[in-house]
Amino acid sequence: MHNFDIQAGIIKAYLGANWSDSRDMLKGFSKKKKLQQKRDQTDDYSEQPGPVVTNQLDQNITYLKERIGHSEDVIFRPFYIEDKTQRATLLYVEGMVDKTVLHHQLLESLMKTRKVDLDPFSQHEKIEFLMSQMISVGQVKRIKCLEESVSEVLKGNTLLLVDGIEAAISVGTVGYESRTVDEPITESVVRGPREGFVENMNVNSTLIRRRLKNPDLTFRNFEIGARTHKKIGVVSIRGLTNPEILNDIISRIERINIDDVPESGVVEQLIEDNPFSVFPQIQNTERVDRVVGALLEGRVVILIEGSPFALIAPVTFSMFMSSPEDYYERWIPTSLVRMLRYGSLFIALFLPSLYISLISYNQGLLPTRLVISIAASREGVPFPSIVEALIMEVSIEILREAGLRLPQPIGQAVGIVGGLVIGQAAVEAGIVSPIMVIVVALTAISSFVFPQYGAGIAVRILRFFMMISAAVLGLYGIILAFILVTAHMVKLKSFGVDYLTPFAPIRIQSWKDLFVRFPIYSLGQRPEMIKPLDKIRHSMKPKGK
Amino acid sequence: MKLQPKKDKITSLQATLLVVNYMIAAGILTLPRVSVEAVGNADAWLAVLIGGVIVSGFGFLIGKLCQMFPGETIYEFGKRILGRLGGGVITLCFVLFFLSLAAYEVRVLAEFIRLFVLDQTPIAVIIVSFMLVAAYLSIGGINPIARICELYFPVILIVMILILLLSLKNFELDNVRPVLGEGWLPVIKGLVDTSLPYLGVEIMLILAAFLQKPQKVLKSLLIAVYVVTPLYVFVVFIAVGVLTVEDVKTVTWPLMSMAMEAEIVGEIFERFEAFLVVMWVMAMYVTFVIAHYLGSLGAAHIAGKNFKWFIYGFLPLIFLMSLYPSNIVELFELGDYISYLGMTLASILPAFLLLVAKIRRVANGQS
Repeated sequence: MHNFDIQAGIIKAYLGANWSDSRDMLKGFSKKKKLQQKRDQTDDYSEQPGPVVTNQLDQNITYLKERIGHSEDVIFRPFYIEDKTQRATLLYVEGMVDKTVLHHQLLESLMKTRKVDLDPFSQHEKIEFLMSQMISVGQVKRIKCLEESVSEVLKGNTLLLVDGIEAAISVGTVGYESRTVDEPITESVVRGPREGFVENMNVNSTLIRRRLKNPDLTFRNFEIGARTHKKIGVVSIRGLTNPEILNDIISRIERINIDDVPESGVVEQLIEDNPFSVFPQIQNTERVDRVVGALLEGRVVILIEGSPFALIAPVTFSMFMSSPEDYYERWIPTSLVRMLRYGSLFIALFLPSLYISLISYNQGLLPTRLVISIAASREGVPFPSIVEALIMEVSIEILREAGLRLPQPIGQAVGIVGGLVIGQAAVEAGIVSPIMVIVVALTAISSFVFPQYGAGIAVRILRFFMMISAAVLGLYGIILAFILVTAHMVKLKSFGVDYLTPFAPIRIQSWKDLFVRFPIYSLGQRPEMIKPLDKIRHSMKPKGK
Repeated sequence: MKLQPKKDKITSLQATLLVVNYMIAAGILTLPRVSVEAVGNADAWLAVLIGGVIVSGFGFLIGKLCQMFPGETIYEFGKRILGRLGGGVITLCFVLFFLSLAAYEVRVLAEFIRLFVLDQTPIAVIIVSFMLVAAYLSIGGINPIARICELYFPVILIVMILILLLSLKNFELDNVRPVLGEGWLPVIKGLVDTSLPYLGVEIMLILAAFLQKPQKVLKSLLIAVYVVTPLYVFVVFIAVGVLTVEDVKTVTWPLMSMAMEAEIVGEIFERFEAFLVVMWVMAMYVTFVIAHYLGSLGAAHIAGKNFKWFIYGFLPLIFLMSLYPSNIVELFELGDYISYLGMTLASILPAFLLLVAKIRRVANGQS
């Protein structure tokens, strides 16, 4: 926790803008944490920059009105505590607060309070009294700095200012509408939990916490976006995640200096190792179980307010070929599916380019009878094979892109029309050969097999690269292109982890969960390449002998 | 002078695979022909086996020498043993050797590709494209190179084993008989030439400096030789068994001819040589990259500049050198000279250095 405060202090100093304690995510987690939190509050608030809260209520109100009062959704609610003598004001943003809490736990209990004389108390005691006896809300926090109170209000907390007290009290009343938790569309599974992340980060952290009731689960929250002050959370498991990797990620996040991060994808682009690579070096997912699985392997997860996509780092290439479902289904079907995926990877990457090179350069490598039948089917096609392939591949990409953006029913219609045009009509018009249609269809279907959209994009880009290489240098071009891609991949790293592990460097232990997935009981070790502090996952024996 | 960043460390497995991948290169496709020509009869495989044992002896010398100077390349400890000038000459020899080897490899590759894959493409296009892809990797230093060895080694091994297994169908034991029909003399005569395909142990003189555990240099070097030896022996044995001694002598690329004969029942895998082409280009790539990188490293030591300057700077030089032989016969002749130079660097040089180092009692204090 103290460590956290140092981190928080760093980021605050860095952003130099309104900063406030962002521990409210811990709300409702464990009692221990809350106690810890209270202790922290007493010793860190003296360092806030800017004007402080004075004991003159009017003076404070004037300042706050000047800062945020120009906007009409900011509500100043003056009232009296205790017999029309003690003036006070509540300050909140309409729509950001939970009205029930505001009305019943705050206004009601403050206004209908029994007669108490606050005067004899010291400043410190007055605040203690208000916080401990009069506000019946879980989260309260004392604030000395006016700038900090502004950002508290903007977060959805309610600020209580009392005349004669040199501090403001921020009451945790955050409550706004958010999408309900539902099934993630981009990563659906046949078997497995259907919960996906939503835009509300508090809900997301609760979803993780619900599956990981572990005292060592750590959320470290920072503020990001110089103008939008969004919350960004770095999640890890103490004693498991390698601190080197964690600190690397945190320091890269701290280096971000941007006005806004609308989506976690922006953060991804700002902290990834090589922005010029086609390969994703950070995984994004909407699935809670994937995130929990990654945490338990010793990876770091990044959550961002306003984005249902969590980021997972570090990653290796093989991660993009696996799905959480692989561990839910029994190991034999899963292993077959894994091999199918790698097979599809090969098809999606190489099939059109192999077609081009075999047609244009290296007919000799095909069996004679196949050459004859292909040649017969290509009769009348006026284009060289590269043009033929490019026409088809580009139109498939257009179709895919069009279908993606359209509402679902129209998207389907586009699919049907496109299928007709690309399939039958193009062949009948004599523009392409039937074999080409098979090649393109197989390639397109294969590229949908990847459980992760991001990996599919890389393959799509590389496919065109392969096709052009094949058109220029035939089979030799494909080999060179493949070598170039692998050379790029062995150079690539994700947060210090080699991207191609366990292929290179070879990690035989991890091959148990690569092309095949061994039975769960034999996967007792965590992946070595992320250097987890605790390498042993379990030490089960088969069949509970 | 710290020209290579010292954080670049490789494991002993990576060192082994670097040597293995470096050895399996141009040689393997012509190995059956070269060895049969040298020995003259079906006992070539025996000579190759003994050649492996001899080279492991050289490996022993190299290992011992490297263990005396942990963390240093021959570019560095050569100076310590023989003084500034002598060390400079050794480094220059190595640079020359690596450059000419790289040029030779890329030219062999180009000849091969032009023959089997791209018959109308100008040879310069094949060479230049290959060198550019290679430079992309060698600029990254030793670690990516070591990782790509790890990535390619299983592929190379699987394709080799598959080709050997599939060729067994055409294998006739009579072709390799009689064993020692003409006695040991032809075998012994052929030993010099059958040792040459094992050329590659010499890179350990430089690689040893990158090892995480310098004391394992000998072990990883010997393992590399013992991995390659059986592979070579089987290649020669099976090639002779499939093609007969006479045929092996006449074809330029015996292994390719062997792969062309191999087939799986059904027509789908009729053309197995495509896999051999893929595998072999990968092997050539790694060899080229290692030679290119180590040559640049040596030049960097002499000039006191970053090796990356030489990675790019040597490209035109290698290109011109590779175009020097006018035909494939000249090319293979040149290859023989390069091999003799390499063998000298791998055998006589380490023995000599070891001797001088013992006499002058120079060694790295920390060993």
